[in-house]
Amino acid sequence: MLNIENLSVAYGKIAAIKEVSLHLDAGEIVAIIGANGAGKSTLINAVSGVVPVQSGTVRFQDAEIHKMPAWKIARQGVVQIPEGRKVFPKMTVRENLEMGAYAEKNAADTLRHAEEMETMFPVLRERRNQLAGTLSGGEQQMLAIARGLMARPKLLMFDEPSMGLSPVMVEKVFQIIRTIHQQGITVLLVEQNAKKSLQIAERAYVLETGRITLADTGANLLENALVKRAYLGIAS
Amino acid sequence: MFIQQLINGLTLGSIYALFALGYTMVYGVLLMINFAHSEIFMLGAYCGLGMLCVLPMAASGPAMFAVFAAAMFGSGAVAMLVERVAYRPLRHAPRLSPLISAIGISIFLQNLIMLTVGAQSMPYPEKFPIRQFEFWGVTLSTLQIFIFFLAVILMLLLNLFLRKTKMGKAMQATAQNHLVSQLMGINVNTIIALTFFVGGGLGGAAGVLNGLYYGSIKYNMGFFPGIKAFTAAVLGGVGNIKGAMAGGFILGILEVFAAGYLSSEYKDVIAFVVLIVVLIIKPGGLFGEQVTEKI
Repeated sequence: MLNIENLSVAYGKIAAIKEVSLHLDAGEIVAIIGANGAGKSTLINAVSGVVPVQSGTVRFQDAEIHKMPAWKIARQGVVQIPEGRKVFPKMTVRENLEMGAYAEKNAADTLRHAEEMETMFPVLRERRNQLAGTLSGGEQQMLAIARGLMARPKLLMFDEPSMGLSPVMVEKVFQIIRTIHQQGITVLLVEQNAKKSLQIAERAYVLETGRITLADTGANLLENALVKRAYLGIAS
Repeated sequence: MFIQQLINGLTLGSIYALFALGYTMVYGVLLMINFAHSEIFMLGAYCGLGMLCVLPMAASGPAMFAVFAAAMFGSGAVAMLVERVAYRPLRHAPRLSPLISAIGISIFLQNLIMLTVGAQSMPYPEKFPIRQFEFWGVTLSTLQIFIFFLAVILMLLLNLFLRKTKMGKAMQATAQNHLVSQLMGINVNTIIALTFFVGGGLGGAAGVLNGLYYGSIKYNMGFFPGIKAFTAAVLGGVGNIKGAMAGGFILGILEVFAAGYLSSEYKDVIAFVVLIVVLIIKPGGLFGEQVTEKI
């Protein structure tokens, strides 16, 4: 479904990711784990088209999306839930959801879909007419996820969804990601929380200073000595 | 006296408010002051004049509509073109570059009109009969009523557009975050162009109203009203749409009061005094950010 080949991205002269190749099959849930600054967010942003690709290709369902502007990539069904939520703070919760379905022409369909989202995330119904900037961090994350789902994504990419959330909220967010995957949406998860990610991911890649150093199933990586030492904080 | 000044102030304020919206809307999406907006205002007045001269029909509602349609569409289109050629190529340049580019465009447009249309001021034909009402020693003209209501109607329409339509909401989203708007499938370039079109159109309407009110227009007519509309936008908090509307009315009233109670010589001074005082005391404007953003 998604094929990344030899992708390199640089900020000025500083290479952020170097010759990264990875793939996702339809229906998979795949994680990319790595330390802060390893290039995880850069990778996801390059797929979304919001940072320019230096070389390499990104193909999504036979379309070369690395040549497209970001808004067109989103309309292909490649949707990102950005790091730090980034809801539209001065718009209401409902308006944020409507923005998620911007490409949808049918207003009645958008309305129905927004109501489905409120059923999935009841807090969004309670806060429907509240400005998104006044929500708590956890509520904003729910809104950001719902807003992403409003676009009816084929591939949903999460950038650090657990960042800055309480342990209870982190648990809930991972539960939601699992549910979304079970609904048949392909998921790419970028996380610092390696343990949780590897537990829900079918496969995972380890990104270190811009390069992929390990690729395996989530279960195998949880048992991998290197991963244990570097990312799970377990001495072996 | 007081009521009379208030009426005159509201009339002038209507023009400033419409004009200020273009500054504030563009600042909202691009964080830049479009200093060429004063020339968009001037071009609107000229487009309106052109339509007034070619229209064969006598004074009528449709004729008035045609005049404003021509001015708004013409100004909007030029504003969009200016964005495309002078600002978009500099989108990622240091913030000073588009500012200088704006000043260049401003000089270019003024000289273009001066050389092609003329350096003399041109009378705005009084095709539409103006009646005066007098009561309690106050004079009120149909033109003043027209200016006020047209401005209010246009502002209500803008508000409706921003709050109820998808494009309008996308404009708000773009003003809040370009990057995330793109992730929603919003073509940010289109929305920015649309912002220039709408803001430019409102500026063009203000230009025609200015021509009708003062009776003549000139190639450099945009300069002083431009600074005042900019002050109105700052007064309301640049980027804040309702603030610009309120700021326009407040500034118009202040200016007329200064002229009436101090001396008409002080008419232009007051705008600059307001600008300086606001920038020193409350740089965020009277209606600064109300929303507390949680991170």
